[in-house]
Amino acid sequence: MKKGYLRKFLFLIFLFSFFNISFIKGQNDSLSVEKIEEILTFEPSIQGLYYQLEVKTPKSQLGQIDFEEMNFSKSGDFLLSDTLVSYGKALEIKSLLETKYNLDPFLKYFIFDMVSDRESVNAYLSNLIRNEIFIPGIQITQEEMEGELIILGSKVPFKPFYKLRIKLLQDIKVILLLAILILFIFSSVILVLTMIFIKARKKEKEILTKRFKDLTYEPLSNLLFEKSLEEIMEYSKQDLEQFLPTNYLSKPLFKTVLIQEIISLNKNMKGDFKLKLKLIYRKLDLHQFTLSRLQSKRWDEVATGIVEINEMDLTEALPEMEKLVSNKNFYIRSNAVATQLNLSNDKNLTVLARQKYPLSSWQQMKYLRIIKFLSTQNLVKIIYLLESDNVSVRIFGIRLVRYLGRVDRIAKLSEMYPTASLPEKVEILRSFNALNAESELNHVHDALYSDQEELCLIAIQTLGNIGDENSQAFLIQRLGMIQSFALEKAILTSLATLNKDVFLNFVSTSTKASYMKIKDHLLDPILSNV
Amino acid sequence: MKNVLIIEDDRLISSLVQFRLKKDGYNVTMVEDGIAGMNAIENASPDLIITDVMIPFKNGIEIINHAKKFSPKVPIIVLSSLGEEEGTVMEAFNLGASDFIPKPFNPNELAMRVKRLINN
Repeated sequence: MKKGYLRKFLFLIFLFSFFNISFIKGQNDSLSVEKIEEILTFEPSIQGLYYQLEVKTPKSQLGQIDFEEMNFSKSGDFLLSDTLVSYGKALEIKSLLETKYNLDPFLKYFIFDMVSDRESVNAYLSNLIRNEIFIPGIQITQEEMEGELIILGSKVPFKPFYKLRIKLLQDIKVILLLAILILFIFSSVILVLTMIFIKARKKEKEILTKRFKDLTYEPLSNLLFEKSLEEIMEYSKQDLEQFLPTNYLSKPLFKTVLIQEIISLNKNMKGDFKLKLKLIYRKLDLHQFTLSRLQSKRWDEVATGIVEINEMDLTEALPEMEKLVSNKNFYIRSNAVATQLNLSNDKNLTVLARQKYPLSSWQQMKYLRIIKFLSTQNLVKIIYLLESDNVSVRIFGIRLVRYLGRVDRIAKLSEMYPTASLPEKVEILRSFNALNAESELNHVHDALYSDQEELCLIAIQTLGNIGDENSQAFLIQRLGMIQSFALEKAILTSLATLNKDVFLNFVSTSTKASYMKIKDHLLDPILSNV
Repeated sequence: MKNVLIIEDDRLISSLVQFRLKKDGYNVTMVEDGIAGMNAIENASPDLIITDVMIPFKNGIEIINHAKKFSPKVPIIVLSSLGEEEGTVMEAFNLGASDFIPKPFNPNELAMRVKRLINN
C-alpha cells in the first residue's frame, strides 16, 4: 500500500518537474550572447541596427587627433562618429581610439532611430534570426534587393525541418516526451486490438456453444426416450459416442456444453431419466473432464468443476473436496463445503464445524438447504457445530436447532448461554422462543434485565410466548426501569399476551399516558396487527 | 394430427418434450417467449398448450389469460419450478389452466397427461 503511494508521488514529482522544465526551456529560446557577438562582428550590416561612437575628449588632445578624417563631428563636449551600419567597423574604430589615443569611447546602439542598450540589441537580433527575417551568412546584393521576390526567396537556404530535427534530437526532455507519447499510442493500439480479439473470440464461442447445444438435443433425446436404462448400461463408450457428433467429441467446448446440458436435464427430470443421464455422463468419461477442472489455475473453472461434481454425485472426488473446503476463494470454498456436505453423508457435519472462515448469510442458506435434505434421511449431529471454535458456525448451529426443531439440543443451548457472545445469546433466545423452551425461563429473565436493547427485546418477545406468572411480575418491574418506547410497547404486548387481566389492571392503575395509547392500539382489532 | 404448442424458454426442455410428443404422433410447435407464444396461439390453432410460468416478455399467467380469451376450450398445462409461489399456481388454475406439472418432471408422465387432456 505504502509502496503504491510512493510510486504515485514520485511519478507526480517527475511529471511536474518535466513540464516545469520544458515550459522554462520553451520560453527561453534565444541565441547565446557569444553567438550574437559573433554574428554582429562578422555581418557587414543588419537591417535596423546602427552604431555610433561617442568620445569625451580633453582639450589637450583635440589637436592631436584628426577627427574629421575619422568622420567625427563635435557636439558640445562630445565628439560623435557617423552612424555606422557595421558593428565590426565600430569595434575597429573603438579599438583604435583606445589603443592609439588612449581614449575611452562609448559605443551607442540604435535600433532603427531609437537609442538602445546591448540587451535590446541581443533580443532584437534573436527575434530576427528566430523568425528568419535575417539569416546570418547570407549576403544579398543591391541588385538582388531590387529583383523579384521569388528569385530572392530561392537564394535563402530555408531548412526549418532540419533545424527542428537537430533541436529535437539534442533535447532529452523532448525525446522523453516523444517516447512516452509513442508508448501511449502503442499501448492504446495493443489494447484496442486485444479488445477486438477477445470480443471476436467471445462471439465465436457463443456461436459454437449454440451450435453444440443444437447438436446435443437429438442424441440426448434419442438415448433418453429410445433406450432403456439396461441398454445404456450395456453400451461401451464407443457405442455411446456413435449417437454423438464424433468429430467434436475431443473438443473441450463440446464437452463443456454436453455436461451443461446433462446437468440441466438432471435438474429438470425425475425418475429413471436421472439415472440414465448419470450413466451417460460417466460412460462418456465426462467425469474425467470434470475432475480435470479442479487442477485449473482459474478459480471459476475450479468452482464449475465442484458444482458439476456435486450435481453428478462424483463421490470419488471427495478427497479433493477435503483440500478445497479451506480454500481462500469464497466461491471455491462455499461450493466445496456444499459438495462435501451433500456427498460425504457425514452426519457429524465436521466439514462445517472445522470451518475457519466466517459463514455468510448466503452460505448458511445454501448449507441449510442441504442439511434439511440430509436430516430427512439421518439425524444430523448439530452438537459439533455448537462446539466449533468459529462463532459464525456456532450461530449457524443454534439456528439449525431452531430450523430443524431439535428440542433435544435445548439443554446444550442452555449450557452455552452464560458464556455466549451477544449474537449467540440473541439466537439462543430466538430458539427458546421457537421451541417453546419453558424450562429455560431463568436465562430469558436474565436477558430481560440486560443493558443490550436487542437482547432485552428478544427476551420480552420470548416471555410473551413462554413466560409464567413470575415473568408477568418481571415484565412490570422492567417497565418501570426503561425509557424506550419500543421496549415499553414490547413489554405491554407480551404482558397482554400472557395475561390480559393483569395487563388491563396494570394499565388502568398507571398514570403514564403512553401506556394508555399502547393499550388502545393493542385492543383495536385493526391496529393491533400494525 | 393434433397440434401441441410448447412455450418454454429452455430450449433443451422444450426439445426433449417435443421429441417425446412427436413419438406419440403430435404435431409440436415450440416458441421461446411470451409474445411469440401469443402469436402462435392466434395463428397455429393449437389443440393443447404447454407453458412455463417464467418466460421472457409475458409470463405464463398472461399466456393463459390470452389463450382463454382467444380459444377458451383449448386445455393448458402449466410447467413450473417447485420454487414458484403458490399464489401463481392458484391464479393459473383460477384462470382456467387444466393441469400443473412441477419441475423436475417425468416427460412420460407429461405425455400421458397431454394424451388424456386432448382425448377429453
